[in-house]
Amino acid sequence: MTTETINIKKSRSAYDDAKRRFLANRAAVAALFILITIIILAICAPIFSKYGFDEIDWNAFSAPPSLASGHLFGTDTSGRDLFVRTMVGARLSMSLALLATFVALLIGVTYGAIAGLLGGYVDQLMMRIVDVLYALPFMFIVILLTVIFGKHIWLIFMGVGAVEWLTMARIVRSQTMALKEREFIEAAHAIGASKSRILIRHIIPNLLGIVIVYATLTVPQVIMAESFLSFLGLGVQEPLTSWGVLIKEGATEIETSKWLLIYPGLFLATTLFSLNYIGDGLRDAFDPRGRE
Amino acid sequence: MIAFIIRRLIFMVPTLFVVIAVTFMLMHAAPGGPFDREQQLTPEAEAELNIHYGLNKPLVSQFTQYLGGVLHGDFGPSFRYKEYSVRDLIGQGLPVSAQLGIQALMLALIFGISIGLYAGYNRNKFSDSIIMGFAMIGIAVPNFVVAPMLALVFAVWLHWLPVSGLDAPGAMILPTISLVLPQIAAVARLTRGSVIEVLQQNYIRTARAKAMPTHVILLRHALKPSLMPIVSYLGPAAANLLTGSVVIEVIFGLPGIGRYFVQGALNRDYTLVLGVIIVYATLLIVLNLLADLIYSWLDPRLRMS
Repeated sequence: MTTETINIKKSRSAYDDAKRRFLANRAAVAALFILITIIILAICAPIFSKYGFDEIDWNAFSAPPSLASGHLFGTDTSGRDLFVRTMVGARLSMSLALLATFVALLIGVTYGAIAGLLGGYVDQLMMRIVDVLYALPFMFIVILLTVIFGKHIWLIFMGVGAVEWLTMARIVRSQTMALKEREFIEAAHAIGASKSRILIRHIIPNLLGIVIVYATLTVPQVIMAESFLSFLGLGVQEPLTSWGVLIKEGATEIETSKWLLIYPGLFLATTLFSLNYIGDGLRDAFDPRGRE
Repeated sequence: MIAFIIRRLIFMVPTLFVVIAVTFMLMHAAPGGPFDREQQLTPEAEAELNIHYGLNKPLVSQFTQYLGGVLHGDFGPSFRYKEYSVRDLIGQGLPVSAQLGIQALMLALIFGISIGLYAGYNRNKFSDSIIMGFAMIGIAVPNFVVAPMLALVFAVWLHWLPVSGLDAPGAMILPTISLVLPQIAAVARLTRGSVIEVLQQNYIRTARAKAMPTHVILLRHALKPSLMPIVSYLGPAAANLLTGSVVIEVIFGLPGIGRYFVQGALNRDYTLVLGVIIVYATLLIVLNLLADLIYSWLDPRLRMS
């Protein structure tokens, strides 16, 4: 009975520690709040707004932001409400980022864990392949993907995930190799725990922290990739909208309607800003080397 | 050292081969041909075009033929700009892109290192927090947001600089600034971090104990070891600058290879996209190699082994 309570406490304490450290990091917590606010806005605002994202307000073409008309961020050249469009764009930008990150996570963790666990020649070969792929220019491969997949935006971003897994694989591999040598794994061996039990109970839970950290840092990279592509006209296409599409429209209309660039740009930058701070905060919280 | 260089040079070959093979195969696996968007072609005309560009041959022989051409610097004809070969287009664009990239890299290093050194020395003071706040903004705000705003202020409102094109004097100023800002921020953050670490070393304490002036401590003792992370960042920095210059060239209408690349992608100009990717990949691999060489040359511990 007593041993059991101690066990439970110990297996939770690593994460409690991380949580405590994360919450002590004020910048990261603030960033988390900002991000949650943006997500809630993105989900709810289009539902409650009186304007649809592709609805034309015939009384307001290129109208500046105003409270009176209800166009908080103004309207674009076709008279569509920019606030709703920014929020709908946020949905697409973030969903694509989550999709790509999920794909990257799946490939990266599997690949890295296999290389790390097996070691030897298999590991050597697998990591050489990663080295070769690392030398490829990421954004250019993504542009290549758009040429191949054309207008199938979801396929393009599954492809983005399939090229973004390299860092994840490297980190998971080195972490797995380090874990293999640790005393508690040896101890688990000594008391006769099976290989699969060690993998599931000891290795994977200890990888989780670092995986979450790098997933958090992958999301802003993909959001950036999405806006980059859409800005160049290679990514999301009308009638769909995303932050990149809105920024592109804003950049062409900047002389007459500054708000078309400023608001989507602000939301994009704030989101990237928050995700980077959260990622840094999580890394400090989870990174074992960071412990004093 | 020489063995290291040779090993790395040999390693370049399979990497480039993989790049060329993968891009080539992907391009040809793509649905839709390069002539899809022209006015309804008769099947005969399309077959003739395919024969003209050798697209009717088996894939493997097309590939070996292409590879042979690339080895001689021949990237084939452009599918869109009929009167030009891909080599001509790259030859026209490369000097513009190279100038933009080299200027940006220099500025990023000069300003980034100075700012980082200053912030690191004044760690946790007010000026440091302000600088690092700006650096974070510089990293988070993409250059395709910054560039149009700079163009609005300095070109449209103040008329100090041209909006786009290459012909007017000062045409490179706005593109270079837009391209370099995020890199200055990144270099400054890196430098600050490593300066802080170096300043805690014992030999710095010794120098302080000997009452050496601050500028001597910073420039003579702290600067060189602090630069190591910057050297290893050179590879990724080059990649970021190349990527950034694509969008900057589009915004400011500069005729560099980045703009050709985007137009090629939009027009499904396969040979052009392939050619530019090969050039970019080669550049990146060579730059990474250079960065590694500088790194091992600077770090005596690596030189020994």
